Amino acid sequence: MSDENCTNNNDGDNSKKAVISSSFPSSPLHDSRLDENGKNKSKIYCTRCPSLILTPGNGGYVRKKFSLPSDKDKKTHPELEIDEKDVTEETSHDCWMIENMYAFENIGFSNTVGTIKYLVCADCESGPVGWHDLSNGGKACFLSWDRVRHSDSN
Amino acid sequence: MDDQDILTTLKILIIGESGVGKSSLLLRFTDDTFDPEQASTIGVDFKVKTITVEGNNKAKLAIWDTAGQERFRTLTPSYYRGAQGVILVYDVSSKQSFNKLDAWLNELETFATKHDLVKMLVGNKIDKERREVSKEEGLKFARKHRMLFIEASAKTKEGVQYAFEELVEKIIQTPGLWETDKQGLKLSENASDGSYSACGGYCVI
Repeated sequence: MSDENCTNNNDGDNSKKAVISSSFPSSPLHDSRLDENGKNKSKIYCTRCPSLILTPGNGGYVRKKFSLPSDKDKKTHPELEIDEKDVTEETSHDCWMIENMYAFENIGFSNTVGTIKYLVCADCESGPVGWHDLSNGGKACFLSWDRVRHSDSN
Repeated sequence: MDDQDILTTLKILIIGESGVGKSSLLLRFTDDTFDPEQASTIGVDFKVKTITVEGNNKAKLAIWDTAGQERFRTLTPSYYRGAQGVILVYDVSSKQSFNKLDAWLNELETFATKHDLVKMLVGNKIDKERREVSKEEGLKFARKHRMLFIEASAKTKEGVQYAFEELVEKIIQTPGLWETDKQGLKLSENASDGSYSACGGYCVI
């Protein structure tokens, strides 16, 4: 696992905390999703059901390299399957980092595979929507932007 | 909604024999879809769920399913450690699953670290035609062991949400199981539409 591939994708000036907001990535997508503290501005939902995963301000933006298995169509693959062939190369994900599992509104943790627990929707169990790495005593969870729905309304 | 205070975090276990529908109960807590084909290759270890209690506060539940470990008969003590609530499940169409309840209670007694933890007995699968355990038998067992009791069906949603809410309400009312300076909180009844058919809902002994 690449534990330390977390970057803020900053523009080079990360020497002072006071300027950290200027080091967040600036793109229309990032601007629309990050608040002034680099936290999630919107509510975050499951893409397949109305389950609320995270409320605003509880996830911090990070970009992280990880090999996240594909999330299959729930209709053809109702079960959370992680096949060897699904474990692709590590790619970079825009993520919300959640430091404490109780910061989630609703989330499911899979059984452990190696040192990883995959995050799934607590209600329809689709996913993985993110991961939780148990190695190095880590407590943080990572939600991949590509696997969740950002919305201010329901 | 976003301004709700977090009242408490509670650890709740779901135990019982294989095949009585524990995972389905866990799945059904807030979701309206029920997938009879549900079978996880990896399986879900535990879930964090948020429910609203009276006063617009939220309680966060960490709900642990046994995830098939019951096949090994004795769960690891860490599974039981710190639990404030236990949902003990049997299948009303399986007398055998009902007869094993004593063994589960013994295990609970052995490993639970909080001995005033709140227990709820759930007679599951009442949508099945062939019943081997009557409601009266379930109620009698629950009384004898000072448990809440409800009959439920994950398939029809009867009683499932209600079972969790009752359990949490009882935990909150039990001094020493959780710490707060807010007193007298009760669960709201917004999910209690009265459509379930469980012994007048439940029985507090």
